[in-house]
Amino acid sequence: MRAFAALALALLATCATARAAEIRLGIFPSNDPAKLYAVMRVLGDYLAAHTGDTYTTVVTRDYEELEQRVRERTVDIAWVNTLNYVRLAADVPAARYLATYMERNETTGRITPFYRSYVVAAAASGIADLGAIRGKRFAFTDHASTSGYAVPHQMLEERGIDPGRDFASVVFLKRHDRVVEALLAGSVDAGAISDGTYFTALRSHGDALRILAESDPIPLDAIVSSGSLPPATVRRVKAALLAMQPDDAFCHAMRTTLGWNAAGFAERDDRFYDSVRKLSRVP
Amino acid sequence: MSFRFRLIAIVVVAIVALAGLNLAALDQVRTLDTENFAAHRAEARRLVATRLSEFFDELDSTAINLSKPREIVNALAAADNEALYDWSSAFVGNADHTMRVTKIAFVDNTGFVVARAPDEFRFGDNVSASLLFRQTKHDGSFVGIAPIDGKPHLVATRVLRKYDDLPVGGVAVSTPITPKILSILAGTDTVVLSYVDSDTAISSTGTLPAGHAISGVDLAVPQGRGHFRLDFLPDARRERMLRLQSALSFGAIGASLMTLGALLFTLRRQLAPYQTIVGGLLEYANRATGLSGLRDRLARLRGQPGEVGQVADALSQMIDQVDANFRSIARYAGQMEEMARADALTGLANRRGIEEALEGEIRRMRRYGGHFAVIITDIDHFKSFNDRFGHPTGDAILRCFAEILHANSRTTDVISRWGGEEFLLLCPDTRLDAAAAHAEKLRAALQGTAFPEGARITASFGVAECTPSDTLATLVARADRALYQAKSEGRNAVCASASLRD
Repeated sequence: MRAFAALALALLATCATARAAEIRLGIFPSNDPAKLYAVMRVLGDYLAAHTGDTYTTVVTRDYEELEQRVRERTVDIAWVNTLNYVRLAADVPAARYLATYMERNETTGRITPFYRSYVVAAAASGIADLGAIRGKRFAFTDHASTSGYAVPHQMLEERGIDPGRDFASVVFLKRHDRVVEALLAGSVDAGAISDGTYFTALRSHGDALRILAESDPIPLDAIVSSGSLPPATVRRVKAALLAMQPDDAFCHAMRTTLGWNAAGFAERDDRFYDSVRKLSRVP
Repeated sequence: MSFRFRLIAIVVVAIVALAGLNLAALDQVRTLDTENFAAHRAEARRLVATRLSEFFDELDSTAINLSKPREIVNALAAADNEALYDWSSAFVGNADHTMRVTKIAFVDNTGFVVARAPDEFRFGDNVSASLLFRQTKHDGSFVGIAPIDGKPHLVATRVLRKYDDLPVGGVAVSTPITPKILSILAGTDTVVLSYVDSDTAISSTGTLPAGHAISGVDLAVPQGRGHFRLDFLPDARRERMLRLQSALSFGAIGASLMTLGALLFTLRRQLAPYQTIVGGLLEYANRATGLSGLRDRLARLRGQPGEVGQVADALSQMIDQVDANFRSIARYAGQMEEMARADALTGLANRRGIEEALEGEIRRMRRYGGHFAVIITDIDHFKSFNDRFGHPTGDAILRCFAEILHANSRTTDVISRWGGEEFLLLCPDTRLDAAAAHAEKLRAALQGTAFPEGARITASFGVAECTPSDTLATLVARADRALYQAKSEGRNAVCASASLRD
């Protein structure tokens, strides 16, 4: 099966050389843009090697900007977060699903297309459980973030905590790593981050954060085409993505640069993201 | 007033005047400097006030710039820490590198600090209790000094309004009052800018200038507490200049005194020889010394270098010349005197000469006693010789006769031509007998002598001794009578007056 895929990929690559495209690869700013540019260059190199096309990276200002640029087709291929994907699938008919990003689970070691959202508190804050979180200062990442806002917001609501009323203050820090920094600095008491961010912090800062709540598995980010490329080119890219091995240089770069346990890409169908669709109503 | 004193007075006056002018010029420089310093203080105060005002303006305009964009207002309304931090971090800098805004904070309506720069992750604190927050909320803005994090800051704040209407919070733009900031505002290290309030005192030099400041002024603060104070330190460069001025003043006086001393010394040295010359001449003029005395004085100056030596030499030469002239005049006068008393033909004393000698001898005898005698002699029949041989031979006979008298007389005897062929001899310390004997000796000598033209010459002699009662006339008359006696007795004879009875 793997041999066949490689053969097909080689064939595709041969065809592609005839009409090599310049492809703009967009991604949302989940982390420090400089780090994102570094790892996306590795992905671009991988794709270029397997498709013969050339790739440039665009890290957008925020989640919404990426959504907007897919809508406007000013990026060709976009790495969008779950929430963005659900919105794009609903609003932008030209956008096409290509693949779902996969990670190796930190605790089980299994490769899955899921991740989780954690509500955490700084160990130094003395907050032991969700019950103690009322009246404290809370940090989300971004209104458009799945694990940094939509999912934890719902989790808090389900536990009877109204983020709009029950916190002393709520602040939006945009990126997951900034939430960790603010918690460590004592500027906020609790916040919402992805499990990958938590494990990265665990590696670099030790047991400085305490997990107060853990979400159900959330479908991981999706790779979409904006509709700007010819179908053949899109097929080349999709095949190359699905052919990526978990030990690829890109996955290695993701781990070392961002601390994410990247493990390649898998193809799912649109219903895979249904669990998130009900979250998109979150204010 | 002597020339010397006047000369010295002129030098002293000139030097004192020069020194006075010098000191006056220095004093004027000092006055100018004092005025300059006052102007410098006023200018420094104006400059500091301007810098301070510009500083506040810059803080205020930054606060305004951060309060207007809709994106920032919306970010604050949405508690978007990242966007606010991004905006504010673009405006803050390091005050040590002339950036004036060093801190920016966004605060929501409740006093919750949503974002802060440059401390990216220091937020979430509540400042609702602070006077700054309340004053901003009340007035919409604040420009002045307020404590931030417990320390005085230069601050400008603005309220952010959604739809330019509803307040969503505020922005505070600030920089802490540090010695470095104060020193930048002061602009120069001769000026100390300090901030003083009830709790704090911060100065551009680190410590407040206590006693060593020259003067100080206060500068007001737009809003808030405390005030600025500007103190002027002694300027090292100016101090050096003042010291230099003092040194110059003393130097001017010192140099004047030294010049004066040197001039007086030189003058004294140079004038001393002249004084010797002039003094000598004055003494000579006052008959206090003679030419030789004057020459002795000048001799001390001879050989001196320069003009003085030359003058002394010239004067000495002149004196020598004058002295020589005086001597030759004296000699000439003597000769004239002698000539007046001598007979031109025979070289013997003439009538006037022998009369003076006789009167002198009479006076001497009257005073001191003693004796002297006179002999009058007359050539016998001289007229016939003259007639026979002519006058020139007669003259030769007279000269020869005179030589015989001279040759046969004592050196002390005075021999004179009394007139014509008559001769008179004055014989000092001689009694009548000795004089008669002498006359006899002369008569005999004449008789044995060959005269010119082979003439045989005889003479008659009259001798008389002077008595205390004699005058010239009575003495000569007695001798004359004796001569007459000798003539009458046959000529070629000697007759003494004692043998005559008057």
